Formats: sequence, structure tokens, C-alpha cells
Amino acid sequence: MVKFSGKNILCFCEDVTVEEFLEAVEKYGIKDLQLLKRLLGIGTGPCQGKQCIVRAALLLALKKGIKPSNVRLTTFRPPSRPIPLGVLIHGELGEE
Amino acid sequence: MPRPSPPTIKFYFDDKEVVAYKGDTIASALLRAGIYTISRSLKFHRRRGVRCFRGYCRSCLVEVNGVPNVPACLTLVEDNMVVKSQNAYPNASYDVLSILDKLPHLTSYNTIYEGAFKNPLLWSLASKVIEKITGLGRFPQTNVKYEYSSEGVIETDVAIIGGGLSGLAAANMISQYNVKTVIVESLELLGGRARLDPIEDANLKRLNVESPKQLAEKLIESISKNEHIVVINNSDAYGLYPEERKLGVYIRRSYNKGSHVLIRAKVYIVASGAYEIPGNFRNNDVPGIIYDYGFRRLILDYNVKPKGKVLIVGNGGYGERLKRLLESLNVSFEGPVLDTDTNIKPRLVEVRYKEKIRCALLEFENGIRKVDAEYVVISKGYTPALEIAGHAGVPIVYDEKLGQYVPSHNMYMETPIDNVLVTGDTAGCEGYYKAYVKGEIAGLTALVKILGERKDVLSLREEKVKSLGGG
Amino acid sequence: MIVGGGVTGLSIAYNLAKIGASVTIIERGYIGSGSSTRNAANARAHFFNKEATIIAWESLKLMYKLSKELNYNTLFIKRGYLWLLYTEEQYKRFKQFREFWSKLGIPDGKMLSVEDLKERYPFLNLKGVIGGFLGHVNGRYHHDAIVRGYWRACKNLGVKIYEYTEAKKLIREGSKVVGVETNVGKVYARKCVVLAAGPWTRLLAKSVGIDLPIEPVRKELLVTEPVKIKIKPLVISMKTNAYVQQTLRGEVLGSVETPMDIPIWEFKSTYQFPLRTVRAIIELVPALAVVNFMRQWAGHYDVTPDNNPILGFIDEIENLAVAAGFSGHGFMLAPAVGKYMALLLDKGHLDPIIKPFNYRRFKEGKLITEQLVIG
Repeated sequence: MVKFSGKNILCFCEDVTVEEFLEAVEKYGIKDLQLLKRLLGIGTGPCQGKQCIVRAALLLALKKGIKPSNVRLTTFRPPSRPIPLGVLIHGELGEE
Repeated sequence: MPRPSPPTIKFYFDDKEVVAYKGDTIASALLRAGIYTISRSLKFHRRRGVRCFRGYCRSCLVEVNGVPNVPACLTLVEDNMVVKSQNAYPNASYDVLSILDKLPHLTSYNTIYEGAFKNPLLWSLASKVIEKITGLGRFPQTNVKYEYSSEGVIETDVAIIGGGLSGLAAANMISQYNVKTVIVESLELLGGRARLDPIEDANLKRLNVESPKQLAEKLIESISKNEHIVVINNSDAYGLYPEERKLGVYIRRSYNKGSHVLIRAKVYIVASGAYEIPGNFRNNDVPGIIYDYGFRRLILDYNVKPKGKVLIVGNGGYGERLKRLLESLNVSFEGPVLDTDTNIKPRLVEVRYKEKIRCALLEFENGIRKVDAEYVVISKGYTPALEIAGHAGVPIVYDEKLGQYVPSHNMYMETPIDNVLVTGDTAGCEGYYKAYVKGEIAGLTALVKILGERKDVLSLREEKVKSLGGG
Repeated sequence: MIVGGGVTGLSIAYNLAKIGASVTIIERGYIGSGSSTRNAANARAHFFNKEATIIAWESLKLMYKLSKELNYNTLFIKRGYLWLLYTEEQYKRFKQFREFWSKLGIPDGKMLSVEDLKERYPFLNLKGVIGGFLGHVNGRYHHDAIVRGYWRACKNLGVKIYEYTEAKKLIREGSKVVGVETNVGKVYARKCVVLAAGPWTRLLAKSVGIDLPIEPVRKELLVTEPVKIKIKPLVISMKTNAYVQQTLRGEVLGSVETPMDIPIWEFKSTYQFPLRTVRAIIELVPALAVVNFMRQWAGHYDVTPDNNPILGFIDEIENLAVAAGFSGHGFMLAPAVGKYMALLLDKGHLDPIIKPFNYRRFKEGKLITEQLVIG
């Protein structure tokens, strides 16, 4: 008999496993991805959800028996990917 | 791209000397040298390495000459570069804190919020420890060297974010009407994923090309001849603020050098492509597990030939196409197999590893089989890259037919935001042919917005929309 | 009934339920979706007037014990606030206020010399700085954890919470408010209605003819990729009013006032905010030039003419109360506001700690201003 071990990672940046995610959904009865993001930290690391948020939404939909169209993704914000702060000093402000 | 022998560049990774070719990135050089573990994950200190090879996954972050959180996959090697792994002590191979991976309950949300750490005294101690070990890169020194500058403001008619197939198709279409276009491309070359797909695609025959690669090359050639198109490579369109009519762009020159440019356009076309769907199996984060496009970059752009077997994970089109590529290159492989997304066998259930991948456990109908592998390539498919359209304010909706989350748009690639269009895989991953046609449609819609409702443009657009239906 | 499911509404509900009252919360989004989940998560006792200082110090002391009270870890750590002073006048002002704060019972903050600053905080650029003031009693917490902690405690005490229920107007009968009209129907309140809805409070009060001087001012924040922790206190530049600090995960958090902090209802991010903030925080901590900008977001301050909240009943309507207008320091005051508003609402006891924040002061022209003298 093969003994399985190892983590199935959901959010690679914040080290949140699929198991932990599903457990939180069940324990708190959460239907909102926003609340799970704030509780577990999924989607808040350097990749900002590029690898986890869609997968999390579909997992949530499956687990709660709701349609993916009823699961709202978390809010996307600039920057599209991390850039050095020092570059922004040279951003043109100009007149507005 | 690396030149042929001899390798002429020498740099240091965790105090170990590594040789590299001119044109190598830190990531390609390390993989070629058989170094897979580049970093440790934030909480569990699990081994991590190169995954996407194009700067979006942030898995390969290293410290370069004192600059923290540098993506190894985007940074060209330079002589005597001092590269250090992050979040690992004493180094990435032997990290004392990797014990945290064996004690996941210690750092789980349950323990932190509702467990022992509720106690103020215990929390006072725990927080002191956390503050000492948290964070990825090292806090830089005040005298760290860098050079950033401004390239001012670019005024243009159309700004296209993404130089892949659909972005090129849009630009090509627009260029025929003497309208000014700027293409912002993240990588060093145009062509996106199509450029690295030389296998024939029957859907593209009606465009008189054999493969996505051929189509990309055709478009790139056409664009290079056009004086109304400006291409900015190695650049990240970091912030699209459509009501302000501003697109902030970061031009990467080196790990510590770059420029800012502000692009003001009448129409912004978001052709930012798509991201690979991650694997669903135990230890799906181990170094050696690489996304489809990243693997193509590794073997085609950087000439790093796998020394061991490659396990392909994926169903449907993408796994098959990678299989045909590996066959044509005589690379030893296994699969495609599925993963625990489904119950269909054979499927990958677990990857076993030490310093790198040792083997993969495949579940067959009649039991588990161990398969040796050096790389496990995730070719399960793609999901639209939503962050640019999303942060610009385009609502994200779920497309029932495609089974994907996409930015809200109509058949003309218009979004609820007047000056923002989406196209290609960003508007839904439907294969190369549709990405190309959607690019043309977006180009035509941009023309309508700039030149007005011209009969010829409108009728051509209707033609294109119709041809999508038959794809 | 409490309109507003942010930390203020939750704290009031919790304190009411604790003394046996029956409470309902109406929240337009998800719990905490307003400013409560968008702020910089810092608490201080040091304000430049007596009234705000007293309630802030009370609240901070409650913060220290909040994990125990809610049986949920708030992740509170005493990181301190460090004000960097650039003129003799600023230095003198803090020196005088140091005594003022001491008289109000707050453990002494430290006046720091440039040498002290150089030694303790080597990452700081001290050009133009003549000294600093360290308020070490102040601290940092996890705002989402506190919101969750209150939420859970409320639910355990039987508080009814209705999310995605937007209050559109108040239902008035004579001189009383009897309920709220929402997007999903009318909800009636037996005893009283409390408006703890941040900037939306003004709209609701208007529906019964009360004009509260509360403006929604957009504020933005940015955060970087995590690096090892060096910047522990909340460092505030008295030259640019920028502030910078590192979170428990090592992300550098920063903000500055900008010309686009205007009365606006959407939480839209702006192009100029990162540019301006970075100019200010790199001036403070030059090493940050090579740290990566990871996310910017926006929220609101609900601002009153004297930057102090409106607490208490509205005279004209006998059972309508307000707890809003916190002007950027609502989260840190929530523990105390909850405690004393509950006493007012359930027992009718108007504690001197919240009395000065009555709505009347605007009509009477008795705004709370900066003062050095106590009494």
C-alpha cells in the first residue's frame, strides 16, 4: 500500500493548502471569496492571486454547490505585477 | 538567447560558482547547472523554483547584488553577479526553518487566531519570533545601487498591452489605416505563446499558415515594416487608469535599472494573454514543476535540454501539443496524464522529491506506478489574465460556455469602459485561431472609435465577427 | 438597530449584546467592507486636544485586552509611532504636548535627538530632521482579525447581522425613527436606530432632515512585496505628512496626502498616488527604492469640520443616534466608542468621555480644536 503525503498547495505565495481552504469554508460557512482572502491570506502575496484566485473561486463554488457565476472574484488593483518603488519617482505627474 | 559554446559568464549563487552563456537569465543558467531549488516559501519554507518563466508567478525571486525580490527568470546574468536565495538560512538547499513544513499546525490560521496565540503573553513572544523570520527578501542596505529614469510621456492613438498573437493581429489591422499604435510587451520578443508553438494547427490553415509560430512570424514581419507602430519590449504595463487616460509602464533594463514611461492613448487594448491552471496534486509546488509556456521558454529559447524524463500533465489540446513538440525534439517524456481534478486514470496524485523531483506517483486503474521525472510540466490549459482589465475597472464575469472568468465584453471586444477593449485569450481562452480573429476585431473597433463609423471598417468587422462563429 | 457593519457598528453591537440588549445590524456589503478592511491598522493615544486624547487612550487600553475580551487574536503589537520633526516649532509643540499627554495619564513618550534616531533607526534619512517623538504605547493590529473577532462575538451573543442589505432611508413617525427602508424591504427597530455607516451616515440622516457635516474623503494606501522587518514603528514625516511602516508579513505600507484626496464615493485607485507616495517614503527610507510596489487600494475617511467624530443622540429625533465622522481614526476608537455608546443607548448614561462629541457643537460653533491647556 502506497502511503500518500505532501501538501496540495492552493496559494503558493502565502502557503495555504487546498485542505485548509476547504476546512475554512466548511467551518465558517463562508460563501464570499473576499472573507476567505482576509482570513487565509490567499491572493494577497507577490503574485496577487494569479495562480490561486480562479482556482479558489471554482473550489468554493464546488464545495458550496453554487454556480461559479455567483462567486465574485476579489478586487484587482494596480500594479499588474510588482515593480521597484524607485521607478515611480520618475513617473510623470504633469498637470491635471 | 544563449549563444553557442563556450559559456563565458561566471556568477555566484549562494556562494557557489555557476557558469552561464551570454543571454542566459539567472533562472535558465541555474536550471542548466542542475540547481532547481532557488527559494523557500513564505510560511512553510518549502522548496521553490522556476514555475512560469515569464515574471508573473513570483516563485523564482532571488537577491541580486543586494537587491531583494528580483525575478530570476527575467534577469540576464552578468559577470560576477552575486545571487542569493531568499528566506533560507544558511542557503536554499539546507534551510534550518524547513522544519516549519513538518509543523503546519503551528502556523495555521486556526492556531494564530483561535489557538494558543490568543494568550497575550504567548503572542508577545510569538510575534517577536515572527518579526525576526518573516518577509521574503532581505531589507536592502541604504547604499544599494540602482539607476531609474524617466522616458517621459508617449501620446498615441492606440496602446496595445501585450504583443502576443491577438495584440499583433490588432496592431496589424490598425496599421493599415495610418493610426498610431504602441505595443507594450513584457518579454524580450514579440509573439507570446504562439512564437514557441511550431506544431501544426489545422485551424490556422485558412490563414495560410501551418503553425501558430508561423502566424506570429508573419505578423511580426508585417509590423516591423510599419512606421506607425512603436514596440516597447521588456516592459510591464503596471497601471491602467482609463478615466484618467493614463497607462503607467515600467521598462526593465536590468535587476536594478529601468525607466518609467506614461502612455496616453485614445483607446487601450488589453491583450494580456492568459495564465496556466496550476496542478492539483500533492506537492504541486516543488522545484521542477514548470508551467507549459515556461517549459517551452526553457528548452526553445534557452536551449536547456532536460537530462531526465518530462512528465506532461494535461488533458485536451495543450498536453497533446506539448507531447508533439517533445516528440519532434526527441525529448524523453511520459503522458499526458491528468491530475486529481478528475477521477479519470491515469492521473498524477503526488510528486516525490529531495533536492529536486525524484519521481511522480501515477494512479492507474489497477494501482499506483512510480515514474521517474526531472520535470513535471503543467499543460492543463489557461485562464485569462484578468489583472489589467480588472484593475482598470472592467467587471469580471463568468462565461458559462467557456467555463472561464473573463472581463465583461461584447462581440466587438468592447467593455463597459469606453476607452478599454479586451481581446485574445484575455477575453477567453479559445485557441490560436480565435485569438487572432478577436485581435483583428479589437483592432477594427479601435479604428471605429478613432476614425468614426466608417462603412468599410464596420463591414469588415461584421465579417470577422461572423468568422468567429464558425471557428 | 445599527446601520453599518464596520468595526464601529460591530463594537457597539457587541457591547450592547453583552449587557443583554437585543441588536440587529444592517450592512450594505459584507462585514467590514467599508473603511474597516481598508485602513492602515494602527492605533494611537496621542491627539492634539484633550477630548480626543482621553477617548483614544481609553480605547488603546481596551485594545491591549481585546484579544482576551473577544477570545480571538487581534495580533496587536506595540510598535509605537515615531514622529520625525523638521522645525524648532514642531519640536517645541511635541515637547509641550508630551507634558500634556503625560498629565492625561499616558506613559511618557520619548523626545529623541538626531543621534538617537541615527542609532535606533539606521534606515532613516535624517536630512533636515532635528529630532523625533516616539509614542511607544501606540501599536499595530490586524484589522481583519478584529472585525472577525467582533463579528464572531456578536453572533455568539445573538446579534442578528444582515449583509448585502443596503439602508436607503430612515422611516420616521413623528419625532421618532421607527425603522429603515432597505433594498430588500423595511426593517423596524423597537428602541432606537444608530447610524455607524461611515460617510453614508450623512445620506441616511438627510432622509429625515438632519444634515450632518460629514464628507467622504478618498484616501489611498500602497504596500510592497515582503522583505525582512526593519521599520517597526509607524514613521510619520512632519514635513510631508507621509507615513511608512512594515506589516507583520514584512510588507512596507505607506501613504501620503495627495490633491486627489477629494470627496468621492468610489474606491478608485489613482495614477498619481503611488508616484507621490513613493517620492515621500523614499525620501524617508532611501533603501526602499529597490523594494517592489505590490498593491495600491483606496478607502475613505469620513471627515467632519474639526476632524473629530459625532457621537450620541440627535436632538431633533429622540431615538436616533450617530457614531460616525471619525476622520481617519475610527478603527482605533471603536473599542471605546462601542463601550460608551452601548451605555448611552441601553442605559441612557451619557458618559463625559463621549459628551464633547455631540452633534450640537457644529451648530453652536464649539468645534474641538487643538489645545495645550487642560481644563
